[in-house]
Amino acid sequence: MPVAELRIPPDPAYVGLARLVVALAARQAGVAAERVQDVKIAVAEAVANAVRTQASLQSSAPIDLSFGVTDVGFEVTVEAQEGPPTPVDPAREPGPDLVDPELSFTIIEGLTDKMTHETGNARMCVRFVIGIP
Amino acid sequence: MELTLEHRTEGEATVLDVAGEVDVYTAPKLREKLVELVSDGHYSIIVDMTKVEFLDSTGLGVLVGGLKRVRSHNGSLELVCNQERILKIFRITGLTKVFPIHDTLEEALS
Repeated sequence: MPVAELRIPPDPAYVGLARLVVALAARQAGVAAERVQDVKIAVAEAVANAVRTQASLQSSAPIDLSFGVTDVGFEVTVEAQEGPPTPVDPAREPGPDLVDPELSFTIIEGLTDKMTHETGNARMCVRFVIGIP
Repeated sequence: MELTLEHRTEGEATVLDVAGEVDVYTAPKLREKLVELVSDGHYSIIVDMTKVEFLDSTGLGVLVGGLKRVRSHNGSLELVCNQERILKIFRITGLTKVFPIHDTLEEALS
């Protein structure tokens, strides 16, 4: 199965879409049914963190997801792209302020077989793997 | 699925029925509801999560915030949850030691 890609705006409203798409891909890739729920939660955590990162940078740069079967299992990468600051939209949905990165990463680590993350001044990238039986 | 919230009084407790998905998009709605309940003097709250389809760390954070609010009034916030996929998140984060979690509403009310 080739690796697929999904690009979404840094908006909480798109987190649900991202987790459903990646969960469907995980199911098609042969991830065990009980672990597809783990994929859903891990994706939600990673994307919520990316949304938070962009909100804190006042950036409207997109969030990129890539996912698919690699030699280590079903692998997902979520990355907040760098972009210039943009004016804060007063109507922007609340939500990113609720994200606690430490709690998020604890959950991703607990649900997946392997997780790495990089966070910097203008970068956030989370990568995790779920094994395929 | 969206998030729906309804509350009612059962004896001295206020039961908040939560149904649907709690994530970074919908969690602010749950936060507002808990803030509103505490502001209205509801300090003994049972959050019934039996119909919650999805919960992530933003939902956990909102529940912890609600717990802090009721505790500042010497109140309590207890949960009803019998779904393994949700309980797993509480266990991973160690929050099973923070929240009283009941299998049924009847158990929580007793």
